[in-house]
Amino acid sequence: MTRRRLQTIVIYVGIIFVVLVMGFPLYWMVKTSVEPPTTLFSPPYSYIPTTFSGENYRLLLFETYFPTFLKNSVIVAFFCTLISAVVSVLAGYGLTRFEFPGKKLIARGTLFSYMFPPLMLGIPLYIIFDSLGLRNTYVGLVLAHASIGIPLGTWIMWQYFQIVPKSLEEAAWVSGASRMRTLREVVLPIATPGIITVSTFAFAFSWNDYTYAKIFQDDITMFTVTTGINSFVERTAVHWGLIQAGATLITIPTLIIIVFLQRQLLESMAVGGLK
Amino acid sequence: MVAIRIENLTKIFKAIAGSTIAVDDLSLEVHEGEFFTLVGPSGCGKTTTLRIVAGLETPTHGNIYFDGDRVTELPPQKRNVSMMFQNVALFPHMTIAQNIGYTLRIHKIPRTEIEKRVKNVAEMLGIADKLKMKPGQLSGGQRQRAALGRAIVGETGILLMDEPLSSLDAKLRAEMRTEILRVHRRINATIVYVTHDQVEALSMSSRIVLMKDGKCQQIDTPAGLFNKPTNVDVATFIGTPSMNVLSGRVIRKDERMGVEFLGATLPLSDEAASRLDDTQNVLIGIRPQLLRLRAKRESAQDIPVTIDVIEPLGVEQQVSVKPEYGPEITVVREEASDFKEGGVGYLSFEYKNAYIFDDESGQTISFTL
Repeated sequence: MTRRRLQTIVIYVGIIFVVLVMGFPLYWMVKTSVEPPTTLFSPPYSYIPTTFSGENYRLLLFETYFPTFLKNSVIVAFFCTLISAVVSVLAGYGLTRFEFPGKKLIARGTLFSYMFPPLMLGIPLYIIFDSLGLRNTYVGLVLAHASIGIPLGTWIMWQYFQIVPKSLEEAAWVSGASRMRTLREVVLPIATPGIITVSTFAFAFSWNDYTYAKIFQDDITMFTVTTGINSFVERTAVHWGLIQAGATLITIPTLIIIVFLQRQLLESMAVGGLK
Repeated sequence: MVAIRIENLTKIFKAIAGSTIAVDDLSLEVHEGEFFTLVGPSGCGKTTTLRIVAGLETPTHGNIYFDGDRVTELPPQKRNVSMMFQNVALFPHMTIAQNIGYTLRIHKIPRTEIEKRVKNVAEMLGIADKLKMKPGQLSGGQRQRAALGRAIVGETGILLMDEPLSSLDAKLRAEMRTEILRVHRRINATIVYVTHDQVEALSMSSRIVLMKDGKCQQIDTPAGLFNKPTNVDVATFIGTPSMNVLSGRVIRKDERMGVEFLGATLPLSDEAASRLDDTQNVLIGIRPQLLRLRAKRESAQDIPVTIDVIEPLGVEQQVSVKPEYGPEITVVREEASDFKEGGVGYLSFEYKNAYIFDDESGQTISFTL
């Protein structure tokens, strides 16, 4: 009894500690963003904001390239998600349902390729993109992001399709449905949680990526939100207010996804053995 | 109604570890409108054969004909067959009505017509009130009915069933067996049914093929399989509990031939004797229901046994007995229990109720002693 209570206390203390360590920077980010820029460097610093101001957000949205960064990020993340989802679903389906030599090796290899650090792929990709004229383009960055999203997505879908009984497809075929129609009307609806997971991972990677965006895009009008915020660190000044306001804004989409899709994500992670 | 002909069908599954022969040169004909059953132990190739007929597997050799037309290369979509699967395989995201009507929708039947036919089928199967539900909300028996509905709504000439009742409990299985037979009488379809359950096969089929190791053992009516098995495998597979098989030896004594087994010598009929050689080793098969177990010795030929296990089966009781020589023997008797486990009894049987099989090939030599 007391032992169990002690255990609970230890667990809770641990949770509180982790939440504080992870949460405090986020709190500080939001706090700084809503305070007037003038209070930033005027001690004493309080933990609770005393004066509120939208000045940082006004500056960010009307005096900087931030809206362009946001547009670039949305476009790149959207197409990266779309391409990753479509390719992963088809590749994952192929890996589960067709027999060909080296199948298992390819399936496992996709996960292996996901484990390459982006920086390592960045340099060869830079050389390739440079010679193809893909630097400072959406196509280049979308492809670079998809090169991470597709292997992981394919692996997740490979795992997911294995739990969709083959007899469901066979029942549809015998009923007269073609393979593509069966995929559309029978397999995909059942694999929806898997597709949501793949899309979320692809979106999150693309949205949060700094490395590729930094390597391939050197024109400020092609910056994404991550490299864009970095541009607020100037040689002579660091615009903390802008940085924190920008960081707060770009956290919102991720937060929404986590809140609404948590259940599906956990479900399909359990399937993929990721949990 | 469509007749099916399977000609020299062979299916070899190739794997890195080596290939397996699932179906080995199988030839048979299913007459139109028949209830034809493929039965056999697991791994005998019966499901593979059915899947080849459906077009879900391609044969390594051999051909399939529907009404004389070769369909070997046709994909399942073009064969105009319907199928019930072992795991029901209803689409979990569709309602029961959508599940049943799926094939009609694919074949571009007008919506009102689909609704009418789905409703008719659902009423026939007693699930008309479940049409708006998803498969997950139905009980096992109702799901089974919905799957049957999906298979019959298209009015295809061939209905394939792959162990459709194996996931149900005993009571529901008996109920669905009757349901399937009732449906078969009402629709015009040739049914090919796969099961490992010989009771199911015997009670439902017009004709049965018994398979083992990918080969056809015997094609016959249920009565034919039960009464005239062609070999010892068929004889032991059909009937519950399994036929007792005992080794014996043919002997000749004063110009009369007899067979010696379980320490006793029994005379052979002229018919059986004419097919046997002196000193040949044979297998004797006797069905448990045709053995007599008595408390007292009534004839010199009675075989003394020890009562090992008594299992009451309601009206009957199944008794395992151990003779002095030879393996355990199963007896099914109707009499009320007057034996005790560990007691002594005497075993006898009528000679005409025993089979003689070849010791090596297992082929039936004679249907009586």
